[in-house]
Amino acid sequence: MTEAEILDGSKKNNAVAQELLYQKYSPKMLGVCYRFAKSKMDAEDMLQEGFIKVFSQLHQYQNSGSFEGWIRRIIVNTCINILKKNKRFSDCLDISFAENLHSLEKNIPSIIQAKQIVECIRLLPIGYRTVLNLYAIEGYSHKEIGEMLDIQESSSRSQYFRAKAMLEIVLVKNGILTHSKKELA
Amino acid sequence: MMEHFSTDQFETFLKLSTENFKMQPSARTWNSLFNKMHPGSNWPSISTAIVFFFLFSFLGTNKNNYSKLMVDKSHQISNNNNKKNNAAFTYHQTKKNYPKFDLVEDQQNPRFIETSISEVQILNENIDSTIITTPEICLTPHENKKEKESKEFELIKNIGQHFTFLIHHKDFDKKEINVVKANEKRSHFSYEIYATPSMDYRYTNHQNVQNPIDSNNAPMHINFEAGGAIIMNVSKRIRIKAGMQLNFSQLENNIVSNNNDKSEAANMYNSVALVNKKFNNTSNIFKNSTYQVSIPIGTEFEIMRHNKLKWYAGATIQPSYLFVNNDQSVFTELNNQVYQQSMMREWNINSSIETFINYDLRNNIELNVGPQIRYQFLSTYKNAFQQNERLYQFGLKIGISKKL
Repeated sequence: MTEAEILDGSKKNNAVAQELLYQKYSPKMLGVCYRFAKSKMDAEDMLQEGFIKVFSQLHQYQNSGSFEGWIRRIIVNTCINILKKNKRFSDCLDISFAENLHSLEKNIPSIIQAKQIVECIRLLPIGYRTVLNLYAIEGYSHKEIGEMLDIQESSSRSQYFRAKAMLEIVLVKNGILTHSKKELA
Repeated sequence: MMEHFSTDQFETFLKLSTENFKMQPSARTWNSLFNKMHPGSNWPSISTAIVFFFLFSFLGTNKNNYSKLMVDKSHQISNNNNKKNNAAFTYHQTKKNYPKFDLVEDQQNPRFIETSISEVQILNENIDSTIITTPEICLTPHENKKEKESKEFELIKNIGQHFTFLIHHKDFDKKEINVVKANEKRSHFSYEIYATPSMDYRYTNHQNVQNPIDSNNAPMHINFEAGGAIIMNVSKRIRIKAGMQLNFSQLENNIVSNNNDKSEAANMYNSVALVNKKFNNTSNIFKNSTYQVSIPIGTEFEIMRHNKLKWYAGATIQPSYLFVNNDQSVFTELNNQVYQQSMMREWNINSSIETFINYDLRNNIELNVGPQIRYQFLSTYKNAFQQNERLYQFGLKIGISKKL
């Protein structure tokens, strides 16, 4: 089945085509969810919700632009919506300082490449992590992030800088960076 | 190792590092997603199950209410080999559910008839009574002159499975026939419950292990199967069966043993999870176990029988679904071991060949005992996680069956 046939079949609610589409994109999209989620199980729940939206909104996709990018936006929005339902997440967005890093660092394992970096990101407080994911990796602007998370644009910006500083320390501790730069911004 | 970077480099670094990061979702995610998108798809299977349930229930309880007496077509005339001087019953099955006797008799010597009848089956009758009334039986003096009458059979001897009856008939004073045991037969169906302890020597080696442990020295495991089946006799010697079975099996994993293997494994698993620090030893062996539910469908052939003993050979094929495993795999999340059910193949096909002795206990209850060889067609693990393993097991099946 070509990608066009998979898309066409999925739009017609063909289960085989839907499964093929899911198999093709779910590993990468689960990687996206995992960066936002507390655990792999939560990430899978996000993935599931996201793909339900993908399949239900598939008829809106106009075959213009990257299909993976289109799915990714839906998945990210789903992750954010799920996080926003969590009161603890809302509280975290208001935290203007990081938790004590020492308590986070002690469990950092010696791990490999992409997974290692993702795990480092996941060590950040959830508010920082979300902003960092959206800005640095997903490419949203601070204005868009502010609208998505219902916070000020300036708050997004300040949270991002703190997240970045904290991540650098974590990366250094894990040997990905040779030494810390005090001011990244 | 990377130096610290500028603001733009930081975003670029993060984006490039994580852009192609992938994780393999568990099968549960897709199954749940599929069920939410196609809620109606469950109904055909539920409907089918209900249909089969009622069908089997109906067939199992649709007993024949006729009293029937079946005798072997071949008969022997004792006392005298001269057929002309004796009378005998011949038998043929009518379209109705009761047999028909045509009496062939030499009128010159009508008084005594003895015939050997191999099988008598009487329903709704008490075999212990001295008088057995079988109103559906037809006794006719001649083949060309058939008439249907009620007759009485008087039990005069009961030695083991052999009974001797006196027949009272208006055309004959007393007729004595020897018959073999009266069996109550009500339907072609019976059910069986069984348990099969088995042993195997399964030992899995990860493909990337440089010095795999010799699987010939793998330790023995005791596995267990238990289930139930409906058996249908399709002919005198052949019967088919279908049922449901629970399989418990154990296997041992030898996991990756060095850092190179870890890297290869991490790549192969596409970063599904982290390699745990616990697994830095040169050899790590984990005992794992799985639970499967399977639907054995098969046939059995009666090789021979002698009195209460029957010898059968059979084979089944068993679509199986893995629903629980405690696979302690190489890959973990952080420091916690996780269940990686997605690594294991959920659907598999097993087969078994067996031979067993069937012993008729009493009240239509039979004991089945015999050896079984079981073979799993597909690897326990998915193709991406292939491991070397022995796929056969040896077992001893012990079952109880009861005719419906």
